[in-house]
Amino acid sequence: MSETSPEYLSRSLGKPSFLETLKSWIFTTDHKRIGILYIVFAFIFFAVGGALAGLIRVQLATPEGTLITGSTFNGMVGMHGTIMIFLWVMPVMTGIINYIMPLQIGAKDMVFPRANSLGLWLFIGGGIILMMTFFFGMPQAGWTAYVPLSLVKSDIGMDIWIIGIQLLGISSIISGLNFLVTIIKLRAPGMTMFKVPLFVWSTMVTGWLLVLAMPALTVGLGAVLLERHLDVSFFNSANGGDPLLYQHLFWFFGHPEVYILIMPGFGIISEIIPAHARKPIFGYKPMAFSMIAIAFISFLLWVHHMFSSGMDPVATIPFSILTMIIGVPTGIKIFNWLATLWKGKIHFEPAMLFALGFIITFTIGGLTGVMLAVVPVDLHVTDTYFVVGHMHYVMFGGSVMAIYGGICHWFPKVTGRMLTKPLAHAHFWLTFIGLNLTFLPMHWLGFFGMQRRIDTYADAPQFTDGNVAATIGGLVMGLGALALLINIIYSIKKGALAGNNPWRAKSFEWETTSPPPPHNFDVQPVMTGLPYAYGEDAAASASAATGGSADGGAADGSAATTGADSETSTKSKNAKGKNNG
Amino acid sequence: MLIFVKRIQSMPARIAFAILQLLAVPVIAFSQETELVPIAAGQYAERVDDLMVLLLGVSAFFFVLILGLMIVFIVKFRARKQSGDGAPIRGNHTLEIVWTTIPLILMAVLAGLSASLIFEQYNPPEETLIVKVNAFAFDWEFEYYEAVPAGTGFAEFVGFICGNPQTFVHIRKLNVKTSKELLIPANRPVRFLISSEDVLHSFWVPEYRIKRDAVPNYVSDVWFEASKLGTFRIICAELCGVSHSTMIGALKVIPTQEFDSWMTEQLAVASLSDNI
Repeated sequence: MSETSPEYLSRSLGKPSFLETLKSWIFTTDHKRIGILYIVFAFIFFAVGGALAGLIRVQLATPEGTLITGSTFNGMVGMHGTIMIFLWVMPVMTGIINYIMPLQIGAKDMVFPRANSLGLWLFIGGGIILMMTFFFGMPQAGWTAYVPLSLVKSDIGMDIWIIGIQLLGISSIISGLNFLVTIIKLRAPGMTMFKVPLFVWSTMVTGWLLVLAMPALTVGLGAVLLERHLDVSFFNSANGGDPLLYQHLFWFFGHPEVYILIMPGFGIISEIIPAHARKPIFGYKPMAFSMIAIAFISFLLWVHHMFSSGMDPVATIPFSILTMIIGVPTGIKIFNWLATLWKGKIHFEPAMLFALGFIITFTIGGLTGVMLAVVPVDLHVTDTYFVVGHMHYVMFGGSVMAIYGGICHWFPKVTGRMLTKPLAHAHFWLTFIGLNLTFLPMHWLGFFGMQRRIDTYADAPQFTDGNVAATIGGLVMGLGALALLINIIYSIKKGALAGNNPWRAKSFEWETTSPPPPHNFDVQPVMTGLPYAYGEDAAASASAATGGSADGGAADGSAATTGADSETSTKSKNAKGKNNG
Repeated sequence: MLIFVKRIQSMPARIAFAILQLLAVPVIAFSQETELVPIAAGQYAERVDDLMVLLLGVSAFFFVLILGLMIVFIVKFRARKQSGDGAPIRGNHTLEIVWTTIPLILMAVLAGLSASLIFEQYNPPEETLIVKVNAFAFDWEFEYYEAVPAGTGFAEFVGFICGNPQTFVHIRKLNVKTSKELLIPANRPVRFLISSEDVLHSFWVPEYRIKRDAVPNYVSDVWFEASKLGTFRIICAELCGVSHSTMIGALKVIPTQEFDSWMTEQLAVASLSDNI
């Protein structure tokens, strides 16, 4: 760990120069610093993607919109999707995983620290290349880059875009492998696979998805690049190629990709809810197995993006059924989170608000997903604003809500300071209200006949009001993100000191200092009991003291309903109070 | 919006839909003034709407259940003091089985309903008017064909066939072509053979609840029987380039006699120009 020496030196020799600090960050192989860099760069790209979204919404606030039109608009729609997926949600999740996962398994670092650094710089390089398209012309075929539109040779932005995405793909594969091997090889003594926190399970599953899904995109886009420049014909139907082949390759990546984006979110929510409801996660194994099931099935339903492609309708049926089936493990997760709340002691910290908001908005996204699985309904609403609404409920109401929650949850660990509560509450409410105001009307717009990726709806002015609502909602969400930014900048210097474990949470990352030292733990943590041991040590000591009187459901229920004296209603609860007080 | 509710027959579905509507208060507020919902212009479209209403009902049930449980739990089990933990409950097998099986059964029912509608629409009737839809950046062109009984006529090559090849029977070109505007008769099944001359497009008539991509050198096959007269928008639903937003055609559904006389007239013009 050579990169740690400048930091140790600087500790003993006084403040390092700016150049030294910069160098130590650029060449760092410390998973925590790499994680922070991922998150910082992801936020920069998030601002760019958000600005594009804002411009798109302003354009669509009037039917005749004249702000941005034609190729600029099409380019911006594609770049908004590309940035939000590849340069915001994926890297920010990778950053959170990078920082938290090794701490949670009691490891000193990732198993391949240098590969980790390579992954980071490939991401930043790929991101910068994608930003070039703003100067050389944005790609015209949307984030899906469907052929034959993406084969138009004059569209130089498409070449730049493909190269950028290929680098990001390699970066993701490296990260995925690193996650997998780290979890398999570096878990603390006593920490078997069914004792890791669920965030680690979600990382494991994300790793598999990255390693298995990204190559399909790499191959598909590689073939597009070859066809654009070498006159080969994979996709050009005039020369015997098949345009649908590209769609198959793309969505074989693209559907697991959706779960790459949401899976770490599942993990984050599974950490937040037990910590702030003061209860073990309900159904640990069903939660872990449902993630595995989702990952497995996610490779078998890519065709549901292609129901309208003209394929034999009978061939759509198995994919329709599998798409519905993936809703079952997703439902299992929702119900287990709800059951975790049951009989908890819920603290409404900002992270918990985001987790509760996530359950609402992600449920909406999941339910509209089941609607889209029904082929005749899909054939009407696919490629419309219904899908845009659905997909944003999953991506924003799911992934981004989880990211925001994760930031609120782990900010004290990373910085050693607490976020400022009023700002965090503003952040939550603006985001939650804004996202519903933006994305809910889109379902109606789509069902009523508004197709997606359009810069004007002058011939259908009845869509104005829904679009105005969406534009206002977008502004509100933007203010929410601004509140987060202000909160981070303010709290990083002025926030209350957090201490090691402000949430009294049970996973390993809270046992070390905030922020953790470069080697993470002064003493190697050892896993002795079960994960999420909320209330259990207290219950154990109580049963030892009182001869094991288990608190029955009725007693507990009445205690909770009668109010403030719940602590004294049973002996075991009394002991709990003492133990934690 | 209200118009849409009126068309829904069953009471639980109406209630469920009304609850869902509440979720979009701003949408309701304005939609009562304008007629937003595309009418269902045929029996198939009505069937799709029924399915949609059922889905909305099921979704509303689960959403209200999840939201309701959440609200009850967070009110009832909110922490009143800083100290104390919740009950150390780690799970319940029966509950896991319940919330795995019930959705599975529901999904099976939905899949069955979905598949039955697909199969119903799978084979077009033998006697149909056939319209070849040529999409190109950024407009539509429509060529009329007629079906001829198998064995009597000759198959005309129109491209690689997506969809259901068995149903692709013998057709004869009628030498009638229109652009931008498509005239079809009411109460007679029309088959659309959709193709593209350049990039991908998608043929969407919201009032029919059908959408099929137009793929160059391939033909997508879809059919519909219109029951309502009127002019509807033909929308390109697949990003196709700079003017994708304005690639909108018009579909005019006219009475059968009117259509027949129009067709006779067009055929006469076509044969006249052939003779010249």
